[in-house]
Amino acid sequence: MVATDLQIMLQALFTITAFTILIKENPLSRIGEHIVIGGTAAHVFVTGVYKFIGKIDTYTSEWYLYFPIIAIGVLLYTIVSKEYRWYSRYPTAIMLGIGTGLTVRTIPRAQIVDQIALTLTPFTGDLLVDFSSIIILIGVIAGMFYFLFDVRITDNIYGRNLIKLGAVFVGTAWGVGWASNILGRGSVLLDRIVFILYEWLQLG
Amino acid sequence: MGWLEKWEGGLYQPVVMVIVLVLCAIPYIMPLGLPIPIGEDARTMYRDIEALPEGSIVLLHGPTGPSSYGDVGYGFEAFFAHLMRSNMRVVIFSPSSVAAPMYTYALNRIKDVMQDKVYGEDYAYYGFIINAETEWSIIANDFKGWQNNDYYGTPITEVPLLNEINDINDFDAIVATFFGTINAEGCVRQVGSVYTNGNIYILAGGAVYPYAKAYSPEPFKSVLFSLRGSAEYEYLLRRPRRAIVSMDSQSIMLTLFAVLGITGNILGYTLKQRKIKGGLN
Repeated sequence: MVATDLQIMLQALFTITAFTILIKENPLSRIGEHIVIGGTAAHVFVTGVYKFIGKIDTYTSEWYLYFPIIAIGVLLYTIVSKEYRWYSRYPTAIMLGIGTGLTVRTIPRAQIVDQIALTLTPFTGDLLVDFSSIIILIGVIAGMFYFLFDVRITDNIYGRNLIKLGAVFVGTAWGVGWASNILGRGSVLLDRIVFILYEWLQLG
Repeated sequence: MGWLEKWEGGLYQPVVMVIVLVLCAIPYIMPLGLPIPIGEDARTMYRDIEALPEGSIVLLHGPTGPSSYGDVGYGFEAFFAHLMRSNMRVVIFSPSSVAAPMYTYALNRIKDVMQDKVYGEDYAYYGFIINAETEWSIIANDFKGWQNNDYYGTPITEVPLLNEINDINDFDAIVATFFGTINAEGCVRQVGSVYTNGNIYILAGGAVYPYAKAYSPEPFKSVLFSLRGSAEYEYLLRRPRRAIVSMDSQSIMLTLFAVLGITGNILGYTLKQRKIKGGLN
């Protein structure tokens, strides 16, 4: 029994149009892709505007403060004009600046000091934990040397081997990251299969 | 054209795709019942949540958008259900505007534990904040100043649960689901060093897990992995849902990936050797 709920039918339709790209790119997959991207963009735009209006409502007495912000925001849309495209660099620069400022403010403690402290863990007496701690420490040092190209340690065999070891650690980390990413994407595929089988075809 | 050349030209690709889809679909109709070992991270998180006193306030970050729901969405449902079942009070916020409708979707899927729960007292939806760094900075430093309304437009002063929150340390625990690396790192940077009142537990999507694991046990006490972590949590909850039923399919999918990867490499090597020897001419 196929579900007749409109929402589920639409979901199933777009899922199938997306799957048709596995055979090859075709008009159906492109139509589905464009509708989903267009719908998402419209949703983001509308919810963004509503959120902004909500904030202005909240601060009615200071509504004039929002004019410069609105002006900067509108400049983003100059990107669609070849002549005035460069104006969009101002809001982009402001957003990047805010992001960088927020990040830089907290990096020294959260990602440098705390991480160094956690890398240099004291021995616990648990053989497995201590062994892991030593491996982590070696991996960090070797990985750092792999990237420190300006340090001339390649003149001796120990330095060269350390760099090779660093390459092994770095390569392993990237390999794990890639494999893990594939697994995550596979989970998304399974989500669509279970949707088709259980919600649309109602087989489960 | 021989079959090896057809394979090189990608002519068998649709066949391979259909085989993968069909084989992954079979366990949903005829489950294999493969065992699911439960990891220490899931056990730790489950134990800690159970140990929290009733009425504790927990910050729940998620769900992510629709495109990543299969990766971490089921885990969000499991965490939300567990927190509600344990009579915690939960404040939810999402990382993007497209994630907000998925909150309603998730809420519908845990209706069985929400029957006696009251919005505003037992749970409340703060809404979404875009940009990973900004969202966590706001949650950590400016919870009430950023917005005066919840997602539905109700003033925070009229939502008792949200009105109680003044600072990130008013939360007794933080539970987060991450699909993007930048969200996890934003949490580490903005919250990790200032949140001292409890622990942070996360469910990391496939792309995030290796990087997030580097921040365990501090500031992330537990890091669960993608659909697998969600299945482990569903098992601990004794509330089997889609994550658990997907485990058989995931095992088949991974086996196929490995087999196809090895086969592809062997075929590629064979073809290369034949070209070197001039076998194709």
